[in-house]
Amino acid sequence: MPRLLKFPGKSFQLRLFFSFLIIIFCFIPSFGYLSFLEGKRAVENQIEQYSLSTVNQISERVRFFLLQHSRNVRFIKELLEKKIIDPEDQEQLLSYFRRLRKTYPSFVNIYYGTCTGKFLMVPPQRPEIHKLFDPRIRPWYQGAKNAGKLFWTKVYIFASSQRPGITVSIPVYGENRKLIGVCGIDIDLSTLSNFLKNINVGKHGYPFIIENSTERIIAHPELVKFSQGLDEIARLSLRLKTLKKRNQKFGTTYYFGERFFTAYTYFPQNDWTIGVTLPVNDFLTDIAKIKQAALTMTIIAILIASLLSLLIARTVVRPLTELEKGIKRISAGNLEQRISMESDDVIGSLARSFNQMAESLKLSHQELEKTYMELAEKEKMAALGQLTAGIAHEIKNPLGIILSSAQVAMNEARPEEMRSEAMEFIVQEVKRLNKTLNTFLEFAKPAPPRFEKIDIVELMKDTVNALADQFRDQEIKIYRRLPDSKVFCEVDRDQIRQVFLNLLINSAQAMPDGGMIEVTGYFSDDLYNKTESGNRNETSIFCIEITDTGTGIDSQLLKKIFDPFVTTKTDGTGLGLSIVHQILKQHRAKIDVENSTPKGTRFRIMFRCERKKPCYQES
Amino acid sequence: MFQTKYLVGKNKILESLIILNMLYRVIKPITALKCFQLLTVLFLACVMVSSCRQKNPRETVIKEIARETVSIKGFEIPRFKSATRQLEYARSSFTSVNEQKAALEAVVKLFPHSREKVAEALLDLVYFGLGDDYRLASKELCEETLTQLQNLIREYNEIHQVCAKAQWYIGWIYTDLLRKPSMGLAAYRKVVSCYPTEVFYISSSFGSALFNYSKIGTGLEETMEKHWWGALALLEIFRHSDGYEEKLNITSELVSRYPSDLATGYALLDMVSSHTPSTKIEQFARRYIEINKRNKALAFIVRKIENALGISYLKK
Repeated sequence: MPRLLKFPGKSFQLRLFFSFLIIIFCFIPSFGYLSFLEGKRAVENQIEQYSLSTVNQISERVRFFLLQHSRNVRFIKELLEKKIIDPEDQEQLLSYFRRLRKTYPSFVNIYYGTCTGKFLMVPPQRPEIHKLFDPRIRPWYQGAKNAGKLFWTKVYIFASSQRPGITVSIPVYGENRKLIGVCGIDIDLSTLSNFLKNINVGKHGYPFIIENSTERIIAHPELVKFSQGLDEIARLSLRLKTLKKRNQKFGTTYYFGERFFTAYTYFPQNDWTIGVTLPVNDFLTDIAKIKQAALTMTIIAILIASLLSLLIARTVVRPLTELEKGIKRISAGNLEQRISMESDDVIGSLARSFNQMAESLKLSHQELEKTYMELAEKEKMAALGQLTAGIAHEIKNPLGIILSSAQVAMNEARPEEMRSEAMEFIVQEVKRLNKTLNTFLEFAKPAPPRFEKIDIVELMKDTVNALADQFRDQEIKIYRRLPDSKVFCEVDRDQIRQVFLNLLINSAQAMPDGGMIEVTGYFSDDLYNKTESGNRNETSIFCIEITDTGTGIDSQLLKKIFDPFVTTKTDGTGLGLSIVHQILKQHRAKIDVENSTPKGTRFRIMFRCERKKPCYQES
Repeated sequence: MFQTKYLVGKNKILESLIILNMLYRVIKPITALKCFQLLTVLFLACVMVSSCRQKNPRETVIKEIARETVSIKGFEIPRFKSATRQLEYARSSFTSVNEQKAALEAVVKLFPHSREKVAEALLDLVYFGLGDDYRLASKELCEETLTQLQNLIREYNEIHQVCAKAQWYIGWIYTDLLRKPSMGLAAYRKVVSCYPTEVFYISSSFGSALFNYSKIGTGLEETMEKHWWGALALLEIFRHSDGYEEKLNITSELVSRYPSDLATGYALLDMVSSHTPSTKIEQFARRYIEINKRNKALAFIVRKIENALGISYLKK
């Protein structure tokens, strides 16, 4: 996750926004999906209730439908047994059957078969069938005869039409309860299917009847029309069997290429199972509505949450950005910088704290400036005292020599040679005094630098070459590790040359018995200078190191080696390194010094130069 | 050809580069944050579009079931690829006789070159001409039907199956509806002499109601029974005969020509139950029982003959 959050880059706002988005995309869709599932379950529960009540209603209607047949067949029996209609009078019987069929068009066949083999049916059988027909061998006749009461056959093929169907039959008894015949009414399975077809169970719902003993579908609306899905209908009983095995009255089955909610109930009168299948898709509109609503709400929630997260990210980040800007301005020296945020939350508190801090910093800075001024004044006075003491010291000694030499020269009693020698002393001391004063003047009032773009490496090489003979005489070896490429800097050629000369000569003087000086030039990435905005400059820092193997500098003295009149030499003025420091300061360059190991001193000068890839050359 | 192709390809590459360049110019100013927001909106739009696409599998099923229909007498009759299927449909379950007539006419109209099926359809149409109940048919209607049947025999004389049935129907109308047994018997005789081997299956000639149910595996198709028009005609002649000798001769003819027909069984049953069975009849009966003892469709008549003879052949 942390790695994932790093993905948008370093933008804090983007990362914050991204984090919010992750949370939004995880939680809102999950919540939406759970709501959808809950809604779906509620709809499915409703469908289950609806399916079960529908199947019970269908069962009731089927019972009523069959009841019509059984009532009428009983009625025929009554008419025949009570001789209201003479069983031997075919015309009368035929006329009644016709009227009955007209009243109940759903009665496929109404008939009466006698125990002598006579058979009368409305509508008539085909003549070729009628000629070969014997009612006594038919299942309806034998069933009623054996049962001695109302009898429902299982599904069989009607001899008259060769259609499958069921028959409700009843025995007709004459005197002494002697069987004289059996009357029956046929229910063609197509009629039963048609009856189911007329039951409204939704646009694509199907009621159906299965005969339990044979596990066959005996009635289904699709069976009365030409349909391609007959194989599927045949499989329905197998699918229902699965539900029965699980002891479920409701479930889903798959046929006709789609999913159906299926419910069933037993119809014990005929040993049937009556069921109904309702396409899931019909109810899917409800589920789809829930789905759509959940999805729409989820999308809207995501959009709103995304926008809000964006606003939150901005609201959180903006004060921080303001704070950052304020800190930068204060860092740049603008202590008047304040942040104006009038909120009571943590951000407002932070802004107030920041402003207080800035105020404190400003006061501290003022105090510090005041103290610094005082200190500077004191330092100035101390420096003046030191300078005066230095000058006095530098002048006093020659003056003492000049005084004593002048006294000798003026004393005529002294030998001429001595007086002449004293005169020479005076001249030498005056010269030395003059030199000292010149150096002092140079230190006190340095010439303004005349900047030009020069190759600092080349300048160093020239300076070293100029001193080569002198170093050779003093048995000093010099090593150069300078880049081969040019390093251009904006400097005053003469002044920098003087800096190099002073440092090299100082090094040479620190090695009276000879030694080694190493001059190294390199770009320092660690010392990259940064602008106030934080971006890197096109310029970089070029360092020149001068390392000797001399006596080194005492650590106490090392801290103030660039102060005027500080020297380790007996005849030095102590102004050389001060002048170096001053020149470099005017060039916005820096210098530091440290004792090198195992012995000696290392001076490092840092120039601001144009950055170029260096190419080193060692000699 | 190659050059043209190459140039076309080159142009396409250039066009693609230009488009890419334009896209780059459009996309370039978009910051990472904007880009991310844009992608989020696009993703959400994709989700919305995909969720709006709802497929109803039922539509496909209905499309598959839907067939071409032909309109006849105001009834939309499905059109089938073969005359056999068209006739099967016409003989299946109909709630209205008029619709069934229209379905039969569809066979004649759609498959005029399939003479056999057309003849069968026409014969059924002639039968329907007798009305809902032939027992109520008028004399004129019966005579008109007779004329139509005779025309049918003349027209389709090469289709013996249809001619046999039509000829038998002529005999039946004369004897049973017009009460002219002499003419009816003559017609039956003609069936025996002209079409002695023509058979009919109750299911195939009329029982195509199994059309749908046979396909859902009811297992009830096994009960289809085979009959001979000649045997049925002889049975009718037998039933209209008075003398024992005459009946004996017909029974003899039935046993010899149609030993496995139900009509023969009925004739034998009548002979053994109504008269004192002679040795010859008993021989005929035993032979019939022997031949048909395993025939489930004839089991009941075999049992009745056995009972009439006072024997139980199976027990023996």
